[in-house]
Amino acid sequence: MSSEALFSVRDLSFSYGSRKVLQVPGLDIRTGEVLALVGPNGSGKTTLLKILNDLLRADSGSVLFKGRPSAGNPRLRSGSVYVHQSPFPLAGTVHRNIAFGLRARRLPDSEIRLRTREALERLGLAGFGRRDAKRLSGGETQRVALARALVLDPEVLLLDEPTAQADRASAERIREVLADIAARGRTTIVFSSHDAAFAEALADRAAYLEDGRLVRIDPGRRGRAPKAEDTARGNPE
Amino acid sequence: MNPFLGSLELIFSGDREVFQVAATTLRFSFWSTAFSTIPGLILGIALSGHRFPGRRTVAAVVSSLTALPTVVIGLAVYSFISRSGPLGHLGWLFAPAGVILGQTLLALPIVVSLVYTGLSKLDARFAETLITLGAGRFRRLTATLFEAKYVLASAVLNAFGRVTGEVGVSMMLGGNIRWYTRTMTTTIALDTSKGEFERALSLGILLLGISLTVNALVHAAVKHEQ
Amino acid sequence: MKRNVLTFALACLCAASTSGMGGKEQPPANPRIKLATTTSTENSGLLGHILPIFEAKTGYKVDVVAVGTGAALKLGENGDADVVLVHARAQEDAFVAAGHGVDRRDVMYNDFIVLGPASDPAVIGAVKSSTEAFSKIAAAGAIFVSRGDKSGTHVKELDIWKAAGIAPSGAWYKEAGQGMEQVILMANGMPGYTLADRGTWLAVKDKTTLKICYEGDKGLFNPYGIIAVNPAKWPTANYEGAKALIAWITSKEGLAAVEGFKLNGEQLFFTYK
Repeated sequence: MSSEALFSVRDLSFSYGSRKVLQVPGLDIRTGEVLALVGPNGSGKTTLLKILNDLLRADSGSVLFKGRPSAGNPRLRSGSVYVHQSPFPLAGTVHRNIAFGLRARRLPDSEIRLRTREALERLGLAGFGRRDAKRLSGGETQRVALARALVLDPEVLLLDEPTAQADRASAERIREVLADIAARGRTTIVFSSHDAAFAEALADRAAYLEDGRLVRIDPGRRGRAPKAEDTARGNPE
Repeated sequence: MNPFLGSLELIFSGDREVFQVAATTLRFSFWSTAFSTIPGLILGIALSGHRFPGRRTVAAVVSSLTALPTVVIGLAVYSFISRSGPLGHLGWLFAPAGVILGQTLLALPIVVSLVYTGLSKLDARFAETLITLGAGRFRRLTATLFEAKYVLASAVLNAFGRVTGEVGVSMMLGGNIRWYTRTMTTTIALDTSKGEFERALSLGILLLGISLTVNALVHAAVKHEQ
Repeated sequence: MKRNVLTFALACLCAASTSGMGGKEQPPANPRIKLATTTSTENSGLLGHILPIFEAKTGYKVDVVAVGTGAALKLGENGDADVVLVHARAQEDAFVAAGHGVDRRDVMYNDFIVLGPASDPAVIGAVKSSTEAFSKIAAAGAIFVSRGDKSGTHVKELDIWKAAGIAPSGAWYKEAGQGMEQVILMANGMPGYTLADRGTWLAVKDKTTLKICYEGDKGLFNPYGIIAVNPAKWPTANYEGAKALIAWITSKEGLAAVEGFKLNGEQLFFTYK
């Protein structure tokens, strides 16, 4: 795992109208690391993730991706994918959803078919290809959204509460896939969660946000045994 | 005579003029809807896709344009395409071209307005999803069209219904010329002015029937695509 | 670019809609003639009867735009018509004098009649002139429905009021601003009197309970004239077509067709012998 800063955030500030919702004095994200953003609803996690994906632009401060400003950065756009907390399925089939980004890259049909099938299997969605994407359960939708992102093999995955909509089985599958990706070390993952235990178990570091302010960054517990209390509570869930 | 029976009689009598007038109505409506749909869709999508200062004002103006009386539109276009007007050399007054021009202008704000409001109801997450998955401008446009196809279909149908049922533009710009620019609506107006109410009513029911049929066909087609 | 596509598409459309015209020995270069006339002339059915004969013979296609007299002359003035056929002599002369039209010819005539309720409340049945009839209507305060739209009929009506020395106004004088059939039906409904051209009356009379209360006055004479739009003023006007139509309608054949037109078995238009 390289220790260069993939993302470098300085004096970041974002407001909705007059309400300041995010303030990050400094944050570096290393290539290949898994970073969790932990905090209750409204703590600014989504805002930060969207800014990292250039879906929102900061009011002030700087966000650098590979040393270049993130705003309008084509390498950031092509190298990262954001998945909503409650993902939006595109009209049409599951297959159309997953193939969408691949088609946008104008990949040949044969490769699209192959990669789509792989992604479906990986997320436990084999045979779902022809299903109407708008008629799935919460967990299925979340898995489709993740497959939709993974199929693009991005350098950076930005996931907003990746198991928030999921039933237990889907959540478990998602957790496994994320742990697997993290283990391979090629992908940088930034995900948000309100569940500290879940976050720490999966991440290298956990950044805590309160009322839009980054208050501390703790080391995570990825790949290591869970804490004693966690096992007693029957986590992760 | 029962006007419903009367309209059936009109259809099955093989009266050449009834067919011609119905065909003219459909022809004018088809072209004006077609010519207003493409720019209308593009403008509606552009309006909903870009935030700019004064956007709400523009949307409000477009919406109020949909309420323009047809005679006002007819009059405005008339002053342009009359021989004594700036576009007189085109010779479009009292010809199909003039009617289609006027009806296109009538339909355009309807398409833009309905597309705009329909797309505004589309989740913000939709646009973000397209962007994050790497769709370029053109692909975002086509994906939006596909995603909102019910909205778009209903916008187009609405416009079609409007131009099919209007009289002001057809009368002023077409001149109600027999065999040439006479439509079902102008014929109904003429029949009414001559006191031939029954015939007008029968024709009106026929017009309604055609309108409903087109609506049903388009709805079925859009649903089938699913 | 859009305009070119539009023009092209519409040109195809117009070509498609105008194709299938009988090609005579030599179809005329500009086959469409725009004739502006009055609604009463068109609604009488005369043009529907005589124009096909002209069209079959010459290969021209006459587009009839039926509006009020004033509007018809205005169309000619603005170059939106190629030829006008109206029945308002004073206005026709003014039209030509102002240089808007040329080649004015008399075509035919019919007459106006005073319609009223079957009971004839103003008792005009025995009057000797149209001015006397109008005077009695005004004196009785009987309802009179006026065209109110500067049409030939309206102009004639105003002339009669003027000759009678009356400026009609009040609750009994209803200015409709509508076409002749509408006005007759209104007069039928109120009920009241009105001035109408015989042609429209014949077409509509079965729908009413009115009767002709007065007719035959020289003042009720209603002559029609045809005028070509001045090509010097509007070079784009179809002057050749206008000339052809004028020549035909005033020819023996054309006049015979006019005389031959009957509405409910009655001849409607008469030609000068």
